[in-house]
Amino acid sequence: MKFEEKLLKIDELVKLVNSNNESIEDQIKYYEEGLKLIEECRVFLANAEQKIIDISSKSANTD
Amino acid sequence: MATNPLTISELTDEIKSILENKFFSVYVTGEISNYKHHSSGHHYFSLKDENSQISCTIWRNTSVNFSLKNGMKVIVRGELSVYAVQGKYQIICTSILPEGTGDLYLAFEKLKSELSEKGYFAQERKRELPLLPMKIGIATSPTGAAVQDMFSTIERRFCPTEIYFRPTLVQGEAAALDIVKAISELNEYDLDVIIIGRGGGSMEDLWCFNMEIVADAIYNSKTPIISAVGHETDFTISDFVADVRAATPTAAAEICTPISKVEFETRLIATKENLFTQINANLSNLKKFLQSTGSEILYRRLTEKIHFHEQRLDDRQNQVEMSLKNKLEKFTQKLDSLKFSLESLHPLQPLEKGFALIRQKNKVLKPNKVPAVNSELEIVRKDDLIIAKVLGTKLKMFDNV
Repeated sequence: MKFEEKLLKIDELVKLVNSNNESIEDQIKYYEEGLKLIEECRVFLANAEQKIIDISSKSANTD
Repeated sequence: MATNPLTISELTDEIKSILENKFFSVYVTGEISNYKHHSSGHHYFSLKDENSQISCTIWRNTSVNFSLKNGMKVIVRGELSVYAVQGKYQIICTSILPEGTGDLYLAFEKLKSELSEKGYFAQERKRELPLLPMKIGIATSPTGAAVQDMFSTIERRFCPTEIYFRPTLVQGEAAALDIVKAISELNEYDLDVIIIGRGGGSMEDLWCFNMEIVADAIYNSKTPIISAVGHETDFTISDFVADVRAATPTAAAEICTPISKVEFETRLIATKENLFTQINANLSNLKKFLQSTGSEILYRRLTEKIHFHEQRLDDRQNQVEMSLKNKLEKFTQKLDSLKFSLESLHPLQPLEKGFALIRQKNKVLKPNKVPAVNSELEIVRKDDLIIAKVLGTKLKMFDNV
């Protein structure tokens, strides 16, 4: 899952945990899944480094 | 012939009328001096050459597309006006262009109105940028401050972003075509947004961003484009066509990183706390429910069960009682019948029918015992006792009866 998708999923899980229509068993499941995704996102941010891809070499070849 | 002198106002009115009718449209070139941009928004300056000068005013609602500076040579268009209060005449400028760029300005204005009519600048065409661009294309010069400003701004704000950099000519004759190519090449990657731009410069320097082929390339780009050309005050055709105009390249980089890494981290921690608080609240609500309402339900269920079993027990008891009673009745009947049988077997029973029992010396005279002659016998009947004496005995006493 991409970073952005994980963020959307976390939002969705928070809504489900806040909802009154879910069973407590499911909510605990959503809570744990949310924690897992949050941790993954934090690790991703902590390890992220800027990546610059110079595409000029490619354009030189195709010209 | 004596004439009355004019009042100052009458003279001024006459001058005003003559001057304003004669010079209602002027087109002059000169150098700016005594420039003042008043806090009201109006511009005041003088235009001069070697020998003369004239006051000029630009009202604040007149568009000025560049910064005015003393010493700058400009061409103005306007009308002459007499300011009666100070007895002064001045040019009220309706347009002002830097000298030498007059043709470019005309070309710019012409292309702008053409493209505007074609709908290139329509607000409804503008695409929203993704909330969190993860892949950003940049087309700008590899040298110069703009590219470094963008890289460092993006790195500082949100480093996980991937930057696809296409070094591009942004000045000179070949620039427009190179920008067009860069846009097309960057469109081959699946990017979230493309920034085209450069740092500040003269109008000629920025000119490639005013070319129709560049406008077409931006118009036809699949990927949303941010145009970031020059400074805050510079406007180019590409700014109008692009989905978003950024005042500067740095501003474009900021637009592409709406949420910084630090903000993300803070939000993630807040979300984690929110989740934790919520799940705890849910659990304690459930606990309360079980303690109050929940236990009531349990109690009710339990009571129902107890009642059910009690009823079953009652039923069973009834059954047992019923069957006992039946049995007892049967026993009673049996006993009655036994009693009857027993009574019928009672040895004294035949006496009721007239039979008698014979005893001798208080003992029942057994059938096989023959009493002696002259011995005494007791004949027991139902209600009395006869004492008799044996006269004699015969065998088979009933044979002849």
